[in-house]
Amino acid sequence: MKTQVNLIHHRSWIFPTLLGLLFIISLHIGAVQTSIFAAFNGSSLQKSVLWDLRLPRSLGAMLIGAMLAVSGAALQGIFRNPLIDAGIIGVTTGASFSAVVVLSLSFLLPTAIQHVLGIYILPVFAFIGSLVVCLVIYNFSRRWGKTDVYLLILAGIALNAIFGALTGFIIYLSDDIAIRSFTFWSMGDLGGITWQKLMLIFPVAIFCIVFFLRQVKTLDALSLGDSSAFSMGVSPDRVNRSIIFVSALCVGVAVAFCGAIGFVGLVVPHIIRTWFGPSHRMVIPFSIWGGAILLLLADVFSRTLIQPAELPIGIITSVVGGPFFLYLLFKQKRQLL
Amino acid sequence: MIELKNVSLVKERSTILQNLTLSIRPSRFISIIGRNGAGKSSLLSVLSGEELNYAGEVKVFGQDLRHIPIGDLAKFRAILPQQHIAGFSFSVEEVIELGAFPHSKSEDIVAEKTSEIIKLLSLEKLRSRNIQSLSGGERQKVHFARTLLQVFLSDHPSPFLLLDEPANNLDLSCQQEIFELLKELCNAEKLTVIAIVHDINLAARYSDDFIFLKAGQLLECSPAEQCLKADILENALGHPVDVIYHPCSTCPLIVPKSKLINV
Repeated sequence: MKTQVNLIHHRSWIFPTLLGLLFIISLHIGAVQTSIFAAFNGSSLQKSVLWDLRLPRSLGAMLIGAMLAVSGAALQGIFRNPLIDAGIIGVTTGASFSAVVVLSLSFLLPTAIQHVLGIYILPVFAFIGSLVVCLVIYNFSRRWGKTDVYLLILAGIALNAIFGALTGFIIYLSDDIAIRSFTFWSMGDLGGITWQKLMLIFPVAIFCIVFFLRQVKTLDALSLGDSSAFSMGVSPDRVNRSIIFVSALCVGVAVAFCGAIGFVGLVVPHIIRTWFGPSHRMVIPFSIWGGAILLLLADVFSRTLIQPAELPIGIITSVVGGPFFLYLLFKQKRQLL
Repeated sequence: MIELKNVSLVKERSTILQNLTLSIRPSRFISIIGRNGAGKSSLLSVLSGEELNYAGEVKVFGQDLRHIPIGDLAKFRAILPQQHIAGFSFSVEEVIELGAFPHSKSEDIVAEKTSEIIKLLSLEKLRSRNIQSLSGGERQKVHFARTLLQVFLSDHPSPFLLLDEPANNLDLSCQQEIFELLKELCNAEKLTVIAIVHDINLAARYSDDFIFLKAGQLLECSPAEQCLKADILENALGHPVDVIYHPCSTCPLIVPKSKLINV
């Protein structure tokens, strides 16, 4: 045990250091040539690029990455399966559908609601979409108090197909602008993050991160099954529902501001588990760091690979995450069949 | 210590438990016996606080079970479920240490008690093994160890263990080892054990009291010497039996009658 603790101590410093370095690099790199020092003594264009575009974007990437990874780790914890990701079980598609509905049919919403919600109308509806899918999936995959992974993944496939088709149908009836926004929802983009949006992302991210950090011991207890967790004083239904609610909030906010960015919640917790072991005391905090690092790195690539144009970030995460998911499936084949 | 008064449980319009009234004394080893579907696991769920949709009253140390927060309940009662789930590759030691979850004990105390239990159950060789790589019997022992840690760390004067078929997947030697340990703990540590047992001879050897259930109704709740009789056993088990006594001990042996083999 002591060897493992030493190993963890040796590796834990890597995460903040790497994130700090990446953060500096992300501010430095982009279509406009500038260095981070130009934030104070550069031209007005350089200042504007750094303060108004790159800084909120990089901060947003870190927060969204952390939220996606930590919610993925928590969902995997309550479903007791490392194959679970918000994208795979249809939560991201549900949030995207809800957001597209609001975008296309916002004229049908009462003015009072539009006025009250303001720019938060999209995240609120995306959250509702992801929450509905989470609850449907959770209740559907439960049989006699246990989670059936077959049902879970099959229900995810079905919901992905249903919401994908409904989203497509709405887009089909819409105009060119809506079609462009559909590309945004399906591939992800961090370019739209502004300070104003960050003002919502930041408190939500802090709330979610603190919430998940407080659940680490409970998630460990739940890993042994609902009955064993109950024996240890955990109310499985109450905890599962609260984790689903907060995970849906994470995914909903991420989708509303950045579109569908897949596989972050799948890849990061898995890497953390192989490095630090399965205990959520390690998986949850290091997934927060790992998610921030992965999405910031993916954003740097998305901005530089086809410079001056940008590659949608979802393509990069899916290119990494897709094969990784197949690898996990291959590894779990014996357990699943 | 635990008192049930007119407890009934109805699930999906079928009556699972019917008007159970019984009391369980502390520091005793109690076996719940009955045929499949007799309501044994449901009774255990009621006693554990997991099933609260029952009619009637359950009192634990004089307190209504429904009013005891589950966090407080977990400080003096542990449950060994029938099936064990290992979603992630925890080590044996990590699984056992999870038994400390309800208690606010220092890491040193938890580590010390964990080592004590590992030694007690001869799990030293498995200590660092991945729980997913273990056999069914080995997993059963590890989860049993976790429940033991939960009650060992209890500050309550009379903690209790609820075990759903603890002998599942265990070989003869492990069955004896675990039941003897439980019996010792009942006597020495004032632990109360309530276990669903299918092996009637194993139960007869170690239990102080029996609860016999039939189709959700209580047939008998009494000390072993009063209820281990052929007519009661036949009624509860739904099969004719002979009760004979071991020549070297006073322990009764229950032998099921067979049409093919005459004893």
